[in-house]
Amino acid sequence: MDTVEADERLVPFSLRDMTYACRVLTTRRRYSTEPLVLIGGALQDMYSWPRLERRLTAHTTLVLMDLPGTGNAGDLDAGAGFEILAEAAGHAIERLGLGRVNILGASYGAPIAYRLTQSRPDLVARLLLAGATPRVGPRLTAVVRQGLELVGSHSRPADEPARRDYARNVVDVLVNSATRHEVAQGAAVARLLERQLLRTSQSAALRYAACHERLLDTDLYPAGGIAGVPALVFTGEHDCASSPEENSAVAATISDCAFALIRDADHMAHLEREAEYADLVTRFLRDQPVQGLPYCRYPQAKDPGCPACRS
Amino acid sequence: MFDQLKELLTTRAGLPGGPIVPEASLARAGVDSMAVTVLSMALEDQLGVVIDEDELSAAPTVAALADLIALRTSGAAAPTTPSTA
Repeated sequence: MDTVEADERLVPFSLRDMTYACRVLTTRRRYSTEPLVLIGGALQDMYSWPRLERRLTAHTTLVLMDLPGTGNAGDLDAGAGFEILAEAAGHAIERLGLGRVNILGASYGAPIAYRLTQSRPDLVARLLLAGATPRVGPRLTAVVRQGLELVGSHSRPADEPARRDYARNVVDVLVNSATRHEVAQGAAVARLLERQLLRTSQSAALRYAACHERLLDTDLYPAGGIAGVPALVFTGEHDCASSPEENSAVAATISDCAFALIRDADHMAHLEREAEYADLVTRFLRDQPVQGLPYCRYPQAKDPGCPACRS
Repeated sequence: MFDQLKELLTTRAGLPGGPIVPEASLARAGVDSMAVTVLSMALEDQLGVVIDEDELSAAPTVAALADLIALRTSGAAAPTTPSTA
């Protein structure tokens, strides 16, 4: 594996009443592509990507963000939408003085990256979306509502059986329970996530809930689409939090968008097939072909996708 | 046990082998929460020894982690008999 030790810089930001931060990771190598800004999922923070850090910093400066309401950032008003988060991300990119950047929005981070690209295409060299869906589907909506109920009516953590039931339901969506045996490291990722969820503090659970609530009952990608920015949408072929069809629908709103499904992976592809995930991202950043890769498949628009996702 | 541990971390947990040296801290060796989870499961599958993630993560170095596994593996192979004295 081509890895190098990266230097880390922590940078705080404030915008109006919001406070947040990012980590900038870079090495002494000469990079041939713009820095990559990674905006992660609702259960993640800027320290959640150690494996991709090792792989990606061999090829690019990497910026990981704790946007308002996530990680160590300050709280975000519950009524604030993705537009505010996109504005905060754009503000940070400008303050860093990095010039144009590549943006990878994963899961909850995808609508943020999309909006930023719509509103500030001058900042974005390439857009990558992982695990994107136009709207949150019924299965994930039910799990999110279960979580909101758990934290919403308690000033202290809910009892263990209820928390355990919720954790299992979350894990079964993020690591597709119907295909877990087909997914590389599926059992280990499921176990890791369940342990993390069961250890979540009440304050962290409230922040997760606020992030998740932002996803519900709304069109996550504004009308108007995107043109003129090279883009790639991808996820694991067994993803049932954002199905292949849903990812494909998001890709269809972007002109000339590349689309790929990583084999033997689901919504947690970055943990399940980290080497392939990093390779796909790196190829796209370097303007190398992302078609014909042995670890991907490339469905047509009417691809049946994952049967379990439709249940 | 160090060689066996390194083999598990590289083949099962997908870590690069270079940083995995006895004196390295787990963080320096790249042993993240995912690797610890995979290791815990592999130890149970392959060696029949149960060491949970918290205990594995508490090892200050890779050498200490190997020692912990060696100690517990020998215990699993020859369980102590409760004294009746």
